[in-house]
Amino acid sequence: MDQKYIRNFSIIAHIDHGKSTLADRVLLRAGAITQREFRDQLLDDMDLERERGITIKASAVTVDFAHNGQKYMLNLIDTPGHVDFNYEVSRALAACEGALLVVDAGQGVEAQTVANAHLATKNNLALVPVVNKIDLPAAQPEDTAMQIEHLLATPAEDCIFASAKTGQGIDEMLNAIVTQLPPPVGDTDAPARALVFDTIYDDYRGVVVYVRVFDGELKVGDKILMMGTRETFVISDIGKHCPRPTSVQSLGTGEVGYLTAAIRSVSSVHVGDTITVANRPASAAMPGYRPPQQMVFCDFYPGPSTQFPDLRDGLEKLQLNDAALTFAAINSEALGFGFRCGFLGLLHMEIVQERLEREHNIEVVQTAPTVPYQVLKTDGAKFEVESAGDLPEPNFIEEIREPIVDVDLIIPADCIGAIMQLAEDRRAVYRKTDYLSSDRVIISYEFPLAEIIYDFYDKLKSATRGYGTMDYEVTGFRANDLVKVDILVNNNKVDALSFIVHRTKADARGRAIIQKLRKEIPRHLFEVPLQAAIGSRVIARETIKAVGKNVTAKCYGGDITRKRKLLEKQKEGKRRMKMVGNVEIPQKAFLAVLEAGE
Amino acid sequence: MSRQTLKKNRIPARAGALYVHVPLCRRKCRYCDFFSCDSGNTPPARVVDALLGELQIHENVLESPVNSIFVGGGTPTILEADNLRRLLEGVARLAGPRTEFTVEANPDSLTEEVAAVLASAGVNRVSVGVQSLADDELAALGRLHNAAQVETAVHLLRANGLANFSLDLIYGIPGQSLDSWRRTLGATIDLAPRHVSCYALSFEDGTALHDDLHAGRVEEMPDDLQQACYGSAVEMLAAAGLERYEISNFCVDGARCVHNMTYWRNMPYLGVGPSAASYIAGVRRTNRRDIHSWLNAVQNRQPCPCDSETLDWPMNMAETLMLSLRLCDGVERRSMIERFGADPLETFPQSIGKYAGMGLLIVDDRLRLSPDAFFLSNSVLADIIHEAASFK
Repeated sequence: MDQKYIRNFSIIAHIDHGKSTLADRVLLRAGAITQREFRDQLLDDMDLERERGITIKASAVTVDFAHNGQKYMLNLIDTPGHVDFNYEVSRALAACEGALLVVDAGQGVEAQTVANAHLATKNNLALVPVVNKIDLPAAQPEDTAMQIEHLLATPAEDCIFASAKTGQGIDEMLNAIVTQLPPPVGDTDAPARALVFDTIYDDYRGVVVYVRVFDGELKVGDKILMMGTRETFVISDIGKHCPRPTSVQSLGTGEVGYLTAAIRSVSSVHVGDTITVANRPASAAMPGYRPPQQMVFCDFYPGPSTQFPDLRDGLEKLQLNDAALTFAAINSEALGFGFRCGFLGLLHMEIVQERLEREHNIEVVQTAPTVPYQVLKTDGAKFEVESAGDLPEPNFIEEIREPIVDVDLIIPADCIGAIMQLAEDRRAVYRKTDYLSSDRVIISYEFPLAEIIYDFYDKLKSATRGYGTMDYEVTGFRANDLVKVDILVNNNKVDALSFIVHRTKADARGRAIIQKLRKEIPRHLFEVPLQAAIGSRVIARETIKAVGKNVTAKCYGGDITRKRKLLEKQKEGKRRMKMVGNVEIPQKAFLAVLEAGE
Repeated sequence: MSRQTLKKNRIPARAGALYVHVPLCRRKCRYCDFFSCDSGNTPPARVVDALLGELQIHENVLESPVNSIFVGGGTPTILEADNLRRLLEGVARLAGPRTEFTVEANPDSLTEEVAAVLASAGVNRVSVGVQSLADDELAALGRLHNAAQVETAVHLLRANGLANFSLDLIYGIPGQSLDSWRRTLGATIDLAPRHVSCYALSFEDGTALHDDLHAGRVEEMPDDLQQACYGSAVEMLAAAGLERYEISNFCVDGARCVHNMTYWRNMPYLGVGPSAASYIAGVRRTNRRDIHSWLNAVQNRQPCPCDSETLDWPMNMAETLMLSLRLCDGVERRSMIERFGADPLETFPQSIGKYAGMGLLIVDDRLRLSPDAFFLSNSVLADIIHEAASFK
């Protein structure tokens, strides 16, 4: 199809602002689905996503739409809906020429909307602002439109007022897509260049790659080259979701679709990579490619150690479909064999853990999440550590750098004080405050990532009566006065409990963890000293007193059964213990690091 | 009971020990969770009839003569002379010349008349519930006697030829100091008993003292102080010739309680009376704690409603260790092998190995707790029981 009749667009919206329903409305209006099918959210594949109300995986749908007697091809590219998938969102947006910016008329602009709107502007996308859910009793469409004007500097009156639920404003929206969004302007004769914006693993076909062709075309049988990973494959199938998968012979310039090429692993095709044809390769890849970047790490151990092989199988299966998940086998002295796993962010981690438990029936013991640190040694060597245990001794360390993120918080104006306090406690650097309206502000900070991965989101929610939203983006690494704190139980260093922390917070955090452990670890027949230490310097100390008395004073004929049962009970609680040296530590004590936050 | 268990638990078919539970008290002590009823509301004559009636039903499981008879309660000595005599003579016919025949007595109800009845019925051992020789502590426990009455009771026993008596003491009483406990021990030693029991106070569910503890009206004595009390008992009693032979029991040479040794060696016994327990042919039965169903059943010549339990052999073995490790001598490994067909070291290698390594268990021909380990014995026993449970 001629490029000028193609429109590639995304829908940018905060969670629950109605993106999926709106998408379905577009399909319904274009005649691609029936009224009955409209009930289901076609774009979301997994149960988990639907339950959490977020879209984890992107995909694309192609529909025909007639406007003024001319047939147009509309490609709707879905974007992941969470901060952890920032990079994936940026690639999906890069595949479009425009986007619908959807804002809930009741909720107003949220942090994620702002972040993605900025991302869209950065990618030179044309935006069509849509105020959705205007049918709701609490809807304030004009206010919302004013907030959008503030945010985008587009006149409020340009906003389309719509209700995905009732269908109101949908025609207007579709017309705007055709008239306001620009068509692709690729070079049809140039060597093929297609941007990968999503991959999905399929048991039968291997990796299904979602692409947007920028220049030239891709045909079945083409030998293709992944310009980032340098791997080559032969295209076995090309198709589009209309919304049902429909095979085609080729994807022309400006078109969107999927291809398969007997690709065995998602690690061969990264989101953001450029596909070209091997015998006539493009000279330059599409800009903006980078391999997935894991920013949160934690260890997964099988609940019962016999589940170790199951845990490995489960992770392998998940990784087939999730290029951003990494894992490597480790052996902790305290917890035995397990895996160090890397994630894009905290939500990504939670999703993986939940899927392991739900889809693979594996009981997972998880250690506290940590961020990656860059270490510069005194001998000039530079490397990255994903666990405090991997850090060299303090005297070999020149400096430790931690990841820094830009954070946008959108909060009610009367919560500014509470948020400022929270940010100050978390080593944040204040950037600026903008008023979205008289009672909503957007505050920007620079945070060390480590300070927001534990419980920051919960704290934000409670400080803002649930209204606060946030978005973050990793901007780089910066050296800081960071130290490793070791935890010693009965003079044995427990590797799984070591952590890296800013020096000013080491004492308080060390003490909090030791106190928590003192409550979690039962008394033994001997005294158990607990220490937190930086190198050889002890910064906090507690002692679990030895059991002084554990005796049944009387035991005669009538008591025997009862006393035995009491002994059985005494032992019951010890099932979920891990031995460290000769000390029994309950599994949940390993999460003490996580919970002893403040 | 399965063949397997029979094969693995060789014990005498008949019981050598008889326990008679007199379920009557004038008033419930604040710490006591033994089953008893108000003696004012329950006709003692009916109780005695029923005890003798129940004995008749089960008599055939007893050896003849029995090794030991223990009449406890409750408070056996609050039966009036006639009823007490009738009960004691009714059970005495099962005794032989070498049978140990013990009756529990409280100082307040041990009258001249009662002492005479005990002596004439052939009782040869009396266990006196002294608990403390400090009046404020006795009051805290809800006892009906005072320290002076203990002395009187002991004189009465001696005057009636009952010189073989045991004195029961309690430490860990709220408000008790180590000094006061040592004074009680000293005064007890002055009474020259042949046997002493020293129990750490336990706050049992359903007792008045337990309620006090939970309401914060009293506090438990700290562990280290209880440990010191126990240490004092071991040391002072030994100096007076009363050697510890079980966790809480001390005696002069040759005065071990034959009846209680049956429990600690996990040998068969018959119990009659409400709440009384029996261990016959590998089955533990415990009569319901209910006076009426007991009286009714026995009146109709029926066994009392009871709960029963039969253990598999590893648990039976573990239970035997739980009991016999209470004894300072512990248990002979050979006797365990004869009884269960296996050495405890091989059956429970993990727990026994662990605590032998820590020096809490001493393993040679015998298996026994080190003297330091008595106060921590439940930690050891819980592991053994746990290992036995893992056989399933």
